[in-house]
This record gives sequence, C-alpha cells and structure tokens, in this order.
Amino acid sequence: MRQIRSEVLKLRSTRTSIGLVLGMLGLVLFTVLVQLVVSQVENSSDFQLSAEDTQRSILQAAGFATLFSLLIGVLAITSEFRHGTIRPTFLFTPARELVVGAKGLACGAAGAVLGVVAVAITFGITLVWLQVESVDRAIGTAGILEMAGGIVGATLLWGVIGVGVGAMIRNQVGAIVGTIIWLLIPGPLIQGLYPKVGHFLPNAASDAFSGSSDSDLLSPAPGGLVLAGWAILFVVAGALWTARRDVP
Amino acid sequence: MAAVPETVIEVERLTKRYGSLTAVDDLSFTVARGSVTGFLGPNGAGKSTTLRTILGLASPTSGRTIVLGTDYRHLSDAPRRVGAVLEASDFHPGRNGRDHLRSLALSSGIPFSRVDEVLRLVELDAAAGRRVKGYSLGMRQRLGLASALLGEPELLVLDEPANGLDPEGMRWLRDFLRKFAANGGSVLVSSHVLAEVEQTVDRVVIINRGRFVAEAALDEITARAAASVRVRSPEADRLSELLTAGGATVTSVGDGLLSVLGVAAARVGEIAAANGVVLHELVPEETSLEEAFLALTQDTGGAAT
Repeated sequence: MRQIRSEVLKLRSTRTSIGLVLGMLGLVLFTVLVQLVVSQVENSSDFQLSAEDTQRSILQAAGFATLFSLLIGVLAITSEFRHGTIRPTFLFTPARELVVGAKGLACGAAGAVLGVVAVAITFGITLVWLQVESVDRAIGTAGILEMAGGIVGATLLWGVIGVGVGAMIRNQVGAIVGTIIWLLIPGPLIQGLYPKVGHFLPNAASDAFSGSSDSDLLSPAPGGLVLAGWAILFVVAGALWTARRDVP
Repeated sequence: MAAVPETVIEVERLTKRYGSLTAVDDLSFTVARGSVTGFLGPNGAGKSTTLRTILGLASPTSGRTIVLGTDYRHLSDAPRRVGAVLEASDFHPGRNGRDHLRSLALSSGIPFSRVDEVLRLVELDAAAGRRVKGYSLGMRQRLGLASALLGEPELLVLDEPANGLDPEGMRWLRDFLRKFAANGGSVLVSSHVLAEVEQTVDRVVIINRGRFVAEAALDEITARAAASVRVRSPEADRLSELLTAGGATVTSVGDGLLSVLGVAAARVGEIAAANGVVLHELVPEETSLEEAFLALTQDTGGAAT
C-alpha cells in the first residue's frame, strides 16, 4: 500500500501525466467531432448517424484513452531507468517485484481515470448530439453502460500492461517505439491472417471489451477476461524479470 | 539483548563479471561499526560495481556481500538501516526536490515532517519547491544525501559524494560525516582522489583493477609508503655506495643528487660524516598520502583505464 501511494505521487509530481491527459482529450474530442460531422454530411448507407454501428464507432473514440493509458504505464517505469531514480527506488524497496506490482496498480488506476474522463466526454457529446439532431439512440442503456464499463476496464488494464512492457524493455524510446510498431504491424497482420488466433491478441481483446461493432471479435466479457489475462502476464513477467536482472 | 556485530559490511570473495570483463575480482574486506572507511581506487577500479553489489542492485557472479548481517535485498526496513547515494544525478528533472523525497518517504512509511527536516539539514529547504532541472551539481549531491538520511540510518554508503562539490561543500560533507560517525554511525565512502577523504576517514580500503590492494588505518598507509631523502654531494657515487651498504635504496637523479629510500635523513648525515663525505643538501621528503596511494596502486599494475 505504501508503495502504491509512492507511485501515485510520482505520477502526479511531473508534467508527464498532465501532458498525456491533454493529448488524450485532444485526440478524443477531434475524433468524436469529425465522426459526428462526417455522419451528417455524408449521407451514405455505411455511416448514418441512426445506425447502431455508426453510433458504436463514434462512442469508441473514447477507446483512444487506452493508448495513453499504455503510455502512462510504459513511461512510469522507463523514466525511472532513464533518469536513474530506479536506484533510490530500489534502495528504499529492495523487493523489486513489489515496486513493479505497485506501479502496475497505480498506473492501472491512473489509466482508469483517463478512461472515465474519455467516456464522460465522448458519450456526453454524442448523446447530446443525437438529442439535438433528433436521432434515436440505437443502443440500449444496458449496451451503453456495457461499452462504458468495457472502455474504462480496458484503459485500466492497458496501464498495467504498459508497466509490464516497460519493466521488460527498460529503454524508454525502445519501449515506446517497440509498442507502437507492434500495434501497427504484427498485431493487425496476425489478426488479419489468422483471425482465430488474432482474437486473443491484446488489441483485439481490448476492442471486443470496448464494445466494438466488429462481429469477428470475441464478445465483450470474454474479451475483457482475455485482456486481463494479458495484463497479469505482462506485469508478472515484468516483475520477475526486474527482480532477476541487475539494475544499471 | 543480541550482541551488536562488529562489522556492518562484509564483502567475501566477491567477483563480478560482465561478459569477458571482470569488474571485481575475488575482493574481500569489511567495514567496522562506527568507522568511516574510505573506499579508494582509480576510476574504473570496480568501486561502483562493488557498492552496487553491496546494495543489492547487482548480483555477484560469485562470493557474497553482507550488510548488517544479511544481504541487502533481504534487509527489512532497508532505508531505516542503510542510507545510500550512488549517482549524483538520480532525479527526474521535472520533479521538485520535495516531491522526490516525499515519494521515497511514502514508500517506507517515513512521515513528511522528516522530509522537511532533512531538507533543512542539507540546506535545501529554500529550493525544495523548485524542479531539480534547475539545481546545481552541488545541490543535487545534497538532495541525494538528504534521501539517504530520510530513514535516520545507522550506515551510510556514498559513491564519490565529493564530485562536483565546491571547497565549502566538501568541508560541509567532511564535518557532516565526522559528526555522523561520532554519533555511532558507520560510513563507507568511495573516492578516486585520496585528498577528498583523507581528513574524513579512519580507515581505507584500496582496490585497483577489481582486486584488493590494501586495507589499513590511514596512518599505516602513510607509513607503508617509504619516506625518501634527497641528498646532494660532490661525491655522489661514493655516497651512493656507502648508503647502499648501509641498507638504503639509492637512485641517482643526476647532477650529484640522490634519492634515498629506506633510511632516515639523520642516518644519511651520520653515514656521510663518518666517512668524511661532503654534503651540499640533505632534505627529508614527506610523502603525501596521495603519493602513497598512487605508489600502492602502481605496484599492482597502474591505474586501470
């Protein structure tokens, strides 16, 4: 518990977190508004505001919070290696796996906060927009809540995953570039070529958890369980790896 | 009541290899309770690697290190027993000094009031709200020391704490460490320049190229390096033979000047007088600690580079 409080203070006491929050707000707002405007202008059958898929797609803009949550996790640990604060951290808490675990929980909590903010903004704007345009909501209240819960749950889990990835890669630039490359190339490629396996990758599981309209994916609850499995795997692997390896 | 162990740090046959590089080679030494021990050696001698192993950040390839009776990673409540500073720059540049200390304090249940206390102690209370980015090297050294003192430890381990300190800062550190030891604390402090610590330490452990060179009280180290005598005579060659016969080691420096090792200046004068040799100059040369230190490291193959 002490370690978690320490990690929360570390997150709050630099400008990194606030920068990530602002970046997320910008991206989420931009995506929601562009989609809403496009759905008005382009009256194609593919992207009508009244369609459930369209509404889901717009609400899913909140899912961008997962990317920033991942970055919070990766940065929380790699910046300690980069600036050397990992040394005093481990001198104060020689049980290194405890530090990695506490970081995982703190960054999961921080990620969940991002998720709540993103959902509040995205869902708020979208629902008000539908009201103003007198378009019927195509997703029931239970469905809306399920999406909101899934997105917040996913941002929480990505924060944990970020800590695990950062603990294993350590190098800040390497961890960020490596993660982005993974998200852009091999991840989607495997999903495209071997969808049966691809469903179980973190990305696909996260999309499923967040209530994506993509019918190829798992349903939300199993998606969430698979993503939780990944989070536990990454953070445990990161903790064990950190406990074994020398600290530079 | 359990007996208080006499040694606070034991390094036993420690070897640390990085690939084909042997950073520390079969090194053993101890740090006695209540002592200020200087850990000396040229740059690259393996001092930092040894300290990092003692503090549980690096694992030995073989051998072991014991701190207060156990290995550091199993030390319970570590920051209340041992305070350490390894690098002067281990801070997030965007975090202020107070938050840096508070995050460490929180992790071990140390109250924030203690953070303010150590900030005053190292005279950083005025700068504590500023981001570390704007701190001078001396201020960073003091912030590091403040973190080591947070838990009021009984043992301090400091790696090159004098780096970047101005003369006033050095004096402050010296007085601080002496006071710390006078109150029963033990200190292991490394340096590559003996002069930085010679007024602070009681004992020194000298290593070079990862190997043990010497462990002794400070005055023994001085005594170990032979004091030389400079003597000038128009009959330098004859004097040289006489002195050599008397057990001295004589080196001709040229121009009738001899450098004599192994006998005192008075004895050189006596030998000269007894044999009627004229002397133009007779100077006992005090060997500085630095020279003694360099002599010891050179005996083991020169400074590692």
